[in-house]
Amino acid sequence: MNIMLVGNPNAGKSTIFNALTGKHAKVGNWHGVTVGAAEGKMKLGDSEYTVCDLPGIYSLDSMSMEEGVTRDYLSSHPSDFALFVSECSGLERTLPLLRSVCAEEKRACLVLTKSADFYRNGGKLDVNLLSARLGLPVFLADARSRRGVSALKARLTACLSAPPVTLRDEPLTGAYSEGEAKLSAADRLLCNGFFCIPLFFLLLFGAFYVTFGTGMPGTLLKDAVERFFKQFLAGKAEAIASPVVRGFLIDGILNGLGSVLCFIPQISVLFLALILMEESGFLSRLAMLTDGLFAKVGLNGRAIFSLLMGFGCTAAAILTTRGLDDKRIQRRVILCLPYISCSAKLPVFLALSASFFDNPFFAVLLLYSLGVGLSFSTALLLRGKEPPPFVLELSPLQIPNALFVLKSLLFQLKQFIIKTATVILAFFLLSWLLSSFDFSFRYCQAEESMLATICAGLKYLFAPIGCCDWRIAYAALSGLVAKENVAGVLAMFCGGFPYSAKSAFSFAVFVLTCSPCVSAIAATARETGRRRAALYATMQTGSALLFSYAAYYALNGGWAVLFAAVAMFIAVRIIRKKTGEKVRGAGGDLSAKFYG
Amino acid sequence: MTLSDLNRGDRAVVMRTDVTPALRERLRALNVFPNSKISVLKVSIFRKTFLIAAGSVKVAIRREVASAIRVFPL
Repeated sequence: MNIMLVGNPNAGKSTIFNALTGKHAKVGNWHGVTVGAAEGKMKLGDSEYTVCDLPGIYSLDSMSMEEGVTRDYLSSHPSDFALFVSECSGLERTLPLLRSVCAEEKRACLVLTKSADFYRNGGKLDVNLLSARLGLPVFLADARSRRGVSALKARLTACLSAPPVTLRDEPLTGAYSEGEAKLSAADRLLCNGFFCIPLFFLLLFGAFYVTFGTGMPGTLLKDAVERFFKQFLAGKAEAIASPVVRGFLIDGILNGLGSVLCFIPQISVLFLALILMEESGFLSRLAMLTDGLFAKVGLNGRAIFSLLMGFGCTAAAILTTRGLDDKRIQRRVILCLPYISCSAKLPVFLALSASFFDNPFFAVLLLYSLGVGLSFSTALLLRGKEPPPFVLELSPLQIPNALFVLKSLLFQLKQFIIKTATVILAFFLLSWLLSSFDFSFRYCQAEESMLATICAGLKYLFAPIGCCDWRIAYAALSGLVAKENVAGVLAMFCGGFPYSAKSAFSFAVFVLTCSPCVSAIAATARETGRRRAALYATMQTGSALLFSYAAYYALNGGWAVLFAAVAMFIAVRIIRKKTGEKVRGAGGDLSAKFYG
Repeated sequence: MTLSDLNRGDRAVVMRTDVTPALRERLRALNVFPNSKISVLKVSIFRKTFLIAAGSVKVAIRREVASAIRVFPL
């Protein structure tokens, strides 16, 4: 039998799913974290069940795309067991969904979560009386503790063998009283824009500084790991007599892998900051406070979740755009996301910034800021006539659970290590093979290798930024497979970046603005279709080359011309907009699509 | 009177929501529906966003949507 986890967003379904199946579905203190159905196996006694974690849904008349996933799943699996999950404080909002799904006899039960907040807000609950009034099993659950999970499984075993239920329509008076939401002192502070937004920038700056500031833990640990690979292990490999085996180990594996794996400490700090912001409920307050800013660029505050996720992983961030309200907004956010520097670009930026800054912290900060600016500029360019509506339930403010944060962090790192040990390692090995042998399979220098012949024509791609070199072009394009490859390929072929500081910065601009990796392109294809994804990737790669040429030109004294060109472009757009408004007439009516 | 006319600390009863069916369902799921009681917890600077308590739920609503929610002040 299948068990479906159904309920409103942020009710705790994914936490229960992870507890029952031992998997690690993405959870977070945010409405819209789960964007697709996930399945896992669960053993209860001698029986095995398939548990399905569905995106949160408010009603069967869904508004967003991921709610449509749930609606479609529910209608195509009418005989599955429905495990309704509701926050204690959200019971009355879950009842219409419960009644819709259980309109006829159905195997179901109701699990109530987050009781601590509920009682703190003055809520009252009698579980047994509630169960009698509703006509289905109801119980409290805490899926974050081992004892809670055992109790949940025991109750579930009893429910699975019970007969189907028919929901009763009796009043809940005496069994349930909701209480009233209040603003705590901490919430009053965090809902104040003058406090929350500077705090956000401070936290972000702090996270970046701890990650890659000189002398900071991130940098020190990274240097230690790098020394281990490139000095200790490579030093041992120097003793190998065979030049082919020695080259394979040192150039093919250690230099390449080492230049990627050494960034694990720094990536950990970044991910930790993101997880803490998400889990604490800080993000939904930030979304509320920044909604006005996002409205000006044609988005709404909900986009901040996807954009911040982009600092971790672009592919994952693209998937979260399903939580947005319509396809137009989703496409715009997807087009903005590649300019948000993901964690995979960090190794590249740090490797390049060593060429043009003694202290790489400010160089990398500049690149990240440039990316955010480009992202907002893209959203502004694509802005439609009316911004989408903004209605958001604030997640509860909570101290993140340490064990949960650790598990989430370890999961992200595991994904990174797996990717490095598979896709990236395979790419490095292939690159080493093609760059170490000629077409007669004779061991040779890189300049005489198969790869040099294949990539000969590519050298002109970066000639305008002072790098007429096939190795640089190959490194740049290897980023389309995985961004981490760029740093590894540069390390493999050149040791460091062998050109000037201006060329290094311009190359960094290319990496910043280029199409994301194949994982992100695949995620885009899932959301918008293959043709659109291919179009986006091509446009972004082409424009990235132009951006890098423009950066190099500006650094060589052409900034005045560039500034004038950009100013002229903006002026033309403003004049056209004003002319268009005059021709259409002053139309102040709100879009009928949203406001009826 | 609409929700966008209220100030911090004001309480009201929702009379109707002049929005599309999909948005109406979303608001209903967040305890904002005709005859439900709400109170304004916070109004942002320039009155762009309204944070309200609807039962035990805290909901942030942009001004344009708040202008489409008719209320009767308590």
